[in-house]
Amino acid sequence: MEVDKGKGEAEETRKVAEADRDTVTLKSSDGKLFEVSKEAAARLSTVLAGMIAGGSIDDNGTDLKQIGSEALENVVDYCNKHANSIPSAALISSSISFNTAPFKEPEEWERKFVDRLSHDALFDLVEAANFLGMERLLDVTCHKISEMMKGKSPDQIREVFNIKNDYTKEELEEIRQELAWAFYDD
Amino acid sequence: MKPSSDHRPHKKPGPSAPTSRDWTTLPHDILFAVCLKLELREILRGADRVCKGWRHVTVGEPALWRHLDMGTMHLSQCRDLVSRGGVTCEFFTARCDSDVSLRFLVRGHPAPCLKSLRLLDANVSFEALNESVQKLAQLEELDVELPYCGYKWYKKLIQCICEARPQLRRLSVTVGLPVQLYPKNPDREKFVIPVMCELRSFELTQCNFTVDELVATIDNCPLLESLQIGGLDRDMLRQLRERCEAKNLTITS
Repeated sequence: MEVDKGKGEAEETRKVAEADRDTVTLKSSDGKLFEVSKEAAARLSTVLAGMIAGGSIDDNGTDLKQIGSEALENVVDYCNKHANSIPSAALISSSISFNTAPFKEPEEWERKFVDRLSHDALFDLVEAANFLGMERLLDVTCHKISEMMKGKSPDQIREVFNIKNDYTKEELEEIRQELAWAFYDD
Repeated sequence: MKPSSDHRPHKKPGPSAPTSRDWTTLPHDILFAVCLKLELREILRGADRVCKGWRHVTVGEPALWRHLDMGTMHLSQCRDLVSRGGVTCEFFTARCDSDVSLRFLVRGHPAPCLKSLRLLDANVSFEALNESVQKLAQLEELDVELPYCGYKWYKKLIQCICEARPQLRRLSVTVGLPVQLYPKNPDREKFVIPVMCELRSFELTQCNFTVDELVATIDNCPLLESLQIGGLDRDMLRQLRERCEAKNLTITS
């Protein structure tokens, strides 16, 4: 993956990061630095929790080479918003229970958070959430993607996601035959 | 995918901006998680037909096909979906048009871990049904609507089901048209079921059951909350209610 060099901004953010030990500094693939509450990062991301626990956090910016700056900004934004919206009692439940918790509908602010994203930003964010093991953010972004697919024909879905139809006419007809019943009310 | 080079001004593209990402490269796990949030038909009418990459995910993830409510579809028409779910299918509802279809549903070793099976308009033989129930070790709810059935076979079927699956929580075997082939046959066998210690809901069709047999049946279902017997005459219903008055049980016809 090609890395963009962020120059001036990097210096600026570093100072802030070093001043406050309640935060961790994350570095995007293109070299930009972002600061996020250590508590929120550990609670929302299993990967970051592991890094914090394992001491592999770099004060000068922990490298996240797979995540671009725009996506990382959204991740950090999400963490900070989440930290503010959760009552402190919930902090006790750590990330252990994440995988077993049933899906809760996105909250109003989460909905707004993903609704304002471009499709590209959503794509990058869902990948980042997946990479960082952020169960809740992954859930919310996947929910958004599923809403973008609901009630749409394959053609409409292809248009939304800019996907090329790689089926031949014959192959599509075969699928239709196979599952003819699902299309009765087409 | 390449990281966005952020030299452009503050304004970011909004939700309606066309995408430049290749959504066919969406990781398998993510597309799977998205599909889990869609209904069966939405997957089949949408994601399944978008592109080969996506179909690879929808077909290859049995968990998407765990809950198959085919409504009034015939089982033979949805064999492809049954195959997708494989042994992980837990809930299944469809019309059942033949023994072959039913055997296809419960084929393989191990048999599917069906917890709930509902067969509408079940045009199947005693043997196929009995054999299927024997295989479905995790069954908790069984609903079978038989279009017709002889009295003798009907009773035998219920006995066999209860013996094979005493852990059932719900059992409903109804007959559209019960047939008494030998009405005057005097030495009919007594209808007895084993103790069904989990059964809450029981639905039957009146096929020559005596009040004594029904009372004994109720006695063997300690947790029974609801008993419905289609076609039971008023007098028998009254007698039955009287004799089971002490129980916390609703009996309807």
